[in-house]
Amino acid sequence: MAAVASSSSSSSAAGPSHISDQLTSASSTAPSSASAEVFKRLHPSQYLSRFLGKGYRPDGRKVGGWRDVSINVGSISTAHGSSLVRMGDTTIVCGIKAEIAEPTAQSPNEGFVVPNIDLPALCSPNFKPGPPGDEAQTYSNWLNDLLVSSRTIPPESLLISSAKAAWVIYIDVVCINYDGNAFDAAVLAVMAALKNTRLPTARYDEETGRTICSRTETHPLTLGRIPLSCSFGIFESTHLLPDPTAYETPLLPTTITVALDSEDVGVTCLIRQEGLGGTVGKSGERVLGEAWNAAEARVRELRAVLDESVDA
Amino acid sequence: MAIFDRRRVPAPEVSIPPIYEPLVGAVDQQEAGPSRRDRTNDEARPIFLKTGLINQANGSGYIESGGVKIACSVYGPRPKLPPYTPQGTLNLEVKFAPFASDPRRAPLRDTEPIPLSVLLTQSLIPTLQLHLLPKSSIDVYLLVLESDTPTNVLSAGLTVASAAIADAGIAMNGLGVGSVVASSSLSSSGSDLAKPSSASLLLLDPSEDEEKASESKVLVGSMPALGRITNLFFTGEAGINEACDMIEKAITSSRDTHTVLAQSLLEGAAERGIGAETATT
Amino acid sequence: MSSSALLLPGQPLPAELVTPPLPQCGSGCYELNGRMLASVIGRPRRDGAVVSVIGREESGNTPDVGSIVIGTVSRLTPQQAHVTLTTSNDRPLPETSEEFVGVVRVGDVRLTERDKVKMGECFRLGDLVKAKVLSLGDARSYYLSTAANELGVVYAKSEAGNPLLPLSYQEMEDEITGRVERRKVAKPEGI
Repeated sequence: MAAVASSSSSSSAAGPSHISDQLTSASSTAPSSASAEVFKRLHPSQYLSRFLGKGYRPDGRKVGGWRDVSINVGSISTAHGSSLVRMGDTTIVCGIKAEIAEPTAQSPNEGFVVPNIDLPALCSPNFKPGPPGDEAQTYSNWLNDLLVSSRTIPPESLLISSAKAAWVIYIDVVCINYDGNAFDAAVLAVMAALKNTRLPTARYDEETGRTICSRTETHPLTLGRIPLSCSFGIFESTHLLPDPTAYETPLLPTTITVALDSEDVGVTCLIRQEGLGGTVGKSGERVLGEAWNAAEARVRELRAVLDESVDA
Repeated sequence: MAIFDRRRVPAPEVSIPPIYEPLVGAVDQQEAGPSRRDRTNDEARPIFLKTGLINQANGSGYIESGGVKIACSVYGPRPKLPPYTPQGTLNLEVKFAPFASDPRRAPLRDTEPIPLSVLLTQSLIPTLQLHLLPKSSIDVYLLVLESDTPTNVLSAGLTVASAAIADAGIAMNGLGVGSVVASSSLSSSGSDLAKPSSASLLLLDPSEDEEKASESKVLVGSMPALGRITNLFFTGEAGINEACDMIEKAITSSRDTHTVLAQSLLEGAAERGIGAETATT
Repeated sequence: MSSSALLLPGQPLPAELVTPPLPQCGSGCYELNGRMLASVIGRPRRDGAVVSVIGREESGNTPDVGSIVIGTVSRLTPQQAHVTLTTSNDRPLPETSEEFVGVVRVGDVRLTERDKVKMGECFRLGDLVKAKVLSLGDARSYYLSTAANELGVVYAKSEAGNPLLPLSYQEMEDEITGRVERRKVAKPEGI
């Protein structure tokens, strides 16, 4: 059952799962000289500014560039669906578990979708152990809004028997390595895991009042729209930086997140801006428009990677 | 029961994992027998171990061993909160991803990680040189992504935590590795692998089903390089001689795990460029 | 000279490095039952009477007595300045949620006229300060000293928010407005 789809299938069935393959491709950047490291720590803003002045980001991409993305699905055998996404060095695992519950009295024909994002102490030196912090809570709420507003999993599709039993889809996202922009990576991971999910065929038994699942028959989730998100930060009111890293994020007081839907027509599902927006000589709307255009191109790329990984 | 968790997206108060229809046919029942089909009784399942993957951490490791997948990161030495201690402190936390086991682990309701963290801390402390780190702490975080039994999580957890601590360049007495042996009494099922001894069957690195069917099991934490045991966790019932045999077998297997650990640490060190610069000076 | 293989924690040092006269264990190794073993991953090296194992360069960098540290002034009282440390001996300290904190007490600010020191005329919040670690200090902070010419404020911004340039050991000048502010100035490097 360790069927693993991958954009680059390599190892044999007996070999380690693709989580390791994926993690293995972590770029180990060569240790830079000590004084550069010290400057980077003491004057982060000047450090970033120098790179941007030359048209590059500290991690080597162009100012308007995005990081490489890869997706693997189905590596977690204890989940009904799973995915591992790497966006640069940011690594996210998403696992889907389905359970059965009684629908609420208000919506007797609807199931439940429960998405949560965890940024554990494991993934960054700046997070503490314990319950989800502010950032994780914010992302969980954004993700929930996104899934509800775009009806990614129509709640009626989760019904097993009216007012008796319905599926609860638990979507749990865990960050393993936090190098910024965890939200975009998390959304991508959720969509890949949802596409990878197979539920057993379930039947509600009126006599016993229990739901019994088939051991052999499974079916995929009925999915609605698949939104993908793109985030930006604005540095010193001059540069619009897509896909910020953990180092850049604290230096970007304004952030913009655009989530777009379906391939051809750019239907927005979510736009969020925190901070003033706008850059020197450009209005907030213009910058937002720029972000939107950049996001449209990026979403096409992401969708290609997503389709390839899930269909493989 | 009504814990309202305002930090997470709300879930229905009660939900149950899927219940499957009963099995038909006797095919699956044979598999539950004590003998193995896919490997010999003295054979552990292959281990995959890799260090340095979590680049935000000072040291890290990732292990796949049997039905267990764990990521581990190490931060430190870090400044420790008061009170002042002349020795360093090891803070260790085991956390399960909610999807890492069957049934799902609901956050807040999951208490199992606490004793696991305690046991793992005890197994690791003898491998460390905490007296060198006054006023500091070493934070070790383990995230279980997939699991079968708690014993296997502990065993793989000890190995991967050692790998991550060594990867972080933190001084250690030796590398700690974990190993599990289970003992089942021989049932009548005609297993061709059974030893002539009439007593019991010792299984190295038991699978989930094998562990469930066993009478006793032992988890041995050891530092094979020094020939020392750092922790012994025995549950169930067994005679003295049998228990000693089980420990013996676990220690023998620890040496093999140590070889895998050493190999992946050397590969990790090469990727970090350790020793490359000193060779030129 | 040091072409020996990489050692792992718990592995004995190669015999040719521990020949008599018996060396002492330096960093990265320890003695157990008369044997010398590595404690980190690295290459062994003998320098005269000391053997050590050289591992990851950036690992385990914590401030120690005598270290030269750089940090940002995070709290200022008439008695002491709290400094959040970022580097030690020209190497960045590990990034953590619990920060390394040091304290410069009023008597440790400068060498002369110690009793006339006014903290507000030596440091301001946000100044980058270079200091030496006197001791591991109390439970919370390392004790620091800036009582040397090359120690003190190395980078600061004026009240107007512009960078300050050093004028003398006690004064810095706003490079745009020309206003002079008082600081315990570190001697700029290379002068």
